[in-house]
Amino acid sequence: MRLLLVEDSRDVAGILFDYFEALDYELDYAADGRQGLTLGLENSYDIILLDVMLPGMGGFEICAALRQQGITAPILMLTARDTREDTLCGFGQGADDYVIKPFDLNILQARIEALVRRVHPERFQQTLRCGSLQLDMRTREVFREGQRIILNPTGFRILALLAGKAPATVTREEISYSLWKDNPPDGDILRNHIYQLRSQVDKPFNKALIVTVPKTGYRLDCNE
Amino acid sequence: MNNTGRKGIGQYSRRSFRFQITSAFILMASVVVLIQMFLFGVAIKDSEDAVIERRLSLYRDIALRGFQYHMDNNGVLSIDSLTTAYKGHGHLPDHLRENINQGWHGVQEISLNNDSEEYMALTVYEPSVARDELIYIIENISQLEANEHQSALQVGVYSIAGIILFALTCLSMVFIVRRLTAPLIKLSHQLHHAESDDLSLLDIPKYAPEEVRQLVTNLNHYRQRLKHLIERERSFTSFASHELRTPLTVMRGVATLLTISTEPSFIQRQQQRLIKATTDMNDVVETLLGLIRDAGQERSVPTSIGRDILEQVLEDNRQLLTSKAVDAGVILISNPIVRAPESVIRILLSNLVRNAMAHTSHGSVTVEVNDQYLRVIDSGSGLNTQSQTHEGYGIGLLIVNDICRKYGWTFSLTGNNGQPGCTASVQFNPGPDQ
Repeated sequence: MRLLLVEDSRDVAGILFDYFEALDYELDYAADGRQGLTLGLENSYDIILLDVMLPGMGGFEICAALRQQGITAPILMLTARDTREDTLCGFGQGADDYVIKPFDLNILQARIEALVRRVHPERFQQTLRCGSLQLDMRTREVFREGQRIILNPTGFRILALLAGKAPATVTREEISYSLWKDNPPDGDILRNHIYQLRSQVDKPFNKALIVTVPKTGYRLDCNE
Repeated sequence: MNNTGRKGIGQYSRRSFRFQITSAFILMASVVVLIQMFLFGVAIKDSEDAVIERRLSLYRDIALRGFQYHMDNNGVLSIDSLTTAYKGHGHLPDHLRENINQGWHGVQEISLNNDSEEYMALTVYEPSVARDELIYIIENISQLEANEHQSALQVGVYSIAGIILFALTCLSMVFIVRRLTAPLIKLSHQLHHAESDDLSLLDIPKYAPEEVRQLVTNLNHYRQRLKHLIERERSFTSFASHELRTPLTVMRGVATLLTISTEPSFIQRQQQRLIKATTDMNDVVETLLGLIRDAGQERSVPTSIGRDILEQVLEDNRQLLTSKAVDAGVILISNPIVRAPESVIRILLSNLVRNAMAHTSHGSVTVEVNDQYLRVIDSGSGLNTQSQTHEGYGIGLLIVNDICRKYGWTFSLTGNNGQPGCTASVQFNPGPDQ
């Protein structure tokens, strides 16, 4: 789970980092409104946590700007402003949830997961399917037309990412970030991984599932 | 139905101003008309009597001459078809003699048979004509007066004319009152129909007299002040809410974090957060309580503003400079000693530093202190943007202003003489015992 936290209080940000990093969340942090907007526009996040009273640019403004720029990631306002008007304003600017400080970290986690589940239900599915392809997320086993396919961990992660978003295209940047975060290896290693994946998932069968979308990324064609 | 109520110390009526003023005008008009009619009737009557008296006075000479030259018929002298003179009370006809006392002298009207016969009587004493006797000049005025039918007709016509005149007067009153009260009523409607939280400016009603214009202007002035105060109160509440909820969030978060790890460095980090959160909360509570307490209620012990406080505040807010090419530093020329709690100094400085850091994207934020002043000099976006309230970040300056006013200091926000950014300055004006 990749999360952007825009919060001017270093201490509040600190407890959120300690809590969510322990759950293996990836967190990006901005203490300033403008910096938060830049990060929100530049990167793809599963969810954005926004404070309202921020230096540089207010949380409501950031929320509205992100929505105007077509960012559809769930936005959860995390704020001390508890009036009815503030809550309505937050939702009016495109927020998906509004949590008032002080909050319970467990409940915040539950709300975050509920919001992400609505946008990415595949993250929480035990089995992913695409045509005759089947991925068991619990045992990490892959089957196509009933035959078991043995994949290395990187291949499985790429295939799970493609199957989760199928038939939509997954960009090369998304796959790269998912595998290596902000430190991608030198050279076109991703192309090699895709080549290996195709040789195991598509080559033994009549129809190719993995489709290259030129200059963008890859997708799975589930219509067999 | 009870039409009066009590509000505050004055009684008030539930009837409208327009109704009251119209009623008062109509009542006044009615009284004036009735008095006028009464006076008019009395004047007509007096005028009639005066005319008859004058005519009888003229007949006096005719009667005296007639009696002097014995033109009378046994003490009775007919002057004209209506007027007769009688020499002595004994010569009066019976019906008149019974109603005129012997020895009466003067002028009077005599009514007989339920006002069907009316006479005017005048007595004359002239010894040369009638020794020891009065001469009575009697005029039958019954024939001069209108008969019952004519009287009724006259009364009817005059009554109808009176009623029409009265109705026209009332209508005129209503019209005039409506015109006069219309601006006030419009103003009242504007106020009555406005939403409870609508403090927008009121329109001056059309054709409003000077007093109503003045009233609207004063009301608008009052509404603007009220709006400003409400906005300020909201800002203050918002600040207090943010500043108190942030450490509470940390405390609650720490309570949860302590259940997920027993690693010593992790536990130690949470302890430090807890201590800082309680200090922050204490600072906010002390500052807010200080602001709402009466001035002069207590005098704080002198606090020396040292490098440690200044650098700690900069450090606490340094995250606002992440990814910015901004240097933050302290220039301590001398240590000022002020009569305010350290918590208040931290809040004041923290708000100034946060405001400066928030508005500075490159350059520097410098805290400069000597025994006269505390300055936060930045190279940021300048005065125009910093003085504006922005999602709570301008509220910090309002709190700084409140703190300065409370402790007798002077706060100012000025440009950097043509250089980028601005300078927030707090001048420590020494109090009487500082």
